[in-house]
Amino acid sequence: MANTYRALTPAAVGAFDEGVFERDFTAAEEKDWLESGLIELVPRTYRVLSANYAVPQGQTFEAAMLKENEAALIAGGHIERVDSKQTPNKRG
Amino acid sequence: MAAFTLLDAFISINGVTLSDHSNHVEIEDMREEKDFTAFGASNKVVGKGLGDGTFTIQFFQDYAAGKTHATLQPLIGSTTPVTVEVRATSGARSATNPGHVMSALLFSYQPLSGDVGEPSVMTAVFRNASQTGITYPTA
Repeated sequence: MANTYRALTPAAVGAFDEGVFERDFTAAEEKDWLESGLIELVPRTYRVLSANYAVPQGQTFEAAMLKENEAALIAGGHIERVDSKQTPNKRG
Repeated sequence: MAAFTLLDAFISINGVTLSDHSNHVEIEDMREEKDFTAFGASNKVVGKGLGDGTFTIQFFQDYAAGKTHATLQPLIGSTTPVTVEVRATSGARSATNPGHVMSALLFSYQPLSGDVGEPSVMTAVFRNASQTGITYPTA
């Protein structure tokens, strides 16, 4: 599942896009890009579905989650994405 | 805090509380033992090498949404560390109830294990996956 990022340098803007963009990196690609400091994760809004997550059931919260951690929580039935208020660029 | 009986341990995996599905936890914060004994020595000299950490947690299996299997199974295939926290009690972190926190990968997951007539329990083994090792926050 694609995650949402923001380019932080001109080089990253050239490689990806200006502002917020979505990309379906592999977990390793995501780790490498984030550790490079060229891009950052953009927080996303989630709704809590389960009764044993850190945030109370039914509430929404914002978090910048790595894609595998997010996928694990979604697959486990703990959270779901809430449509983002920001409109990402879909180039590339 | 005096010596105590472990009755209400808190277990959180990737932000998900699974305390009510566990009855056994082991935390090991260790350092490798390195042998520095040189020729001519009459006693062994050992020093510490790299640190390591392991959380071994026994769970009751539960295939319902949001429970044991749904929370742990996605992690066995994941290469991204998750935060695992264990506390002696479910109370907030404090000097007498510190967190035992580790950024960890799940290296062993037994989806089904048990004997006839006994609860289906299984063990999950989390290993350290960051340079901070196990930390003990009190707040």
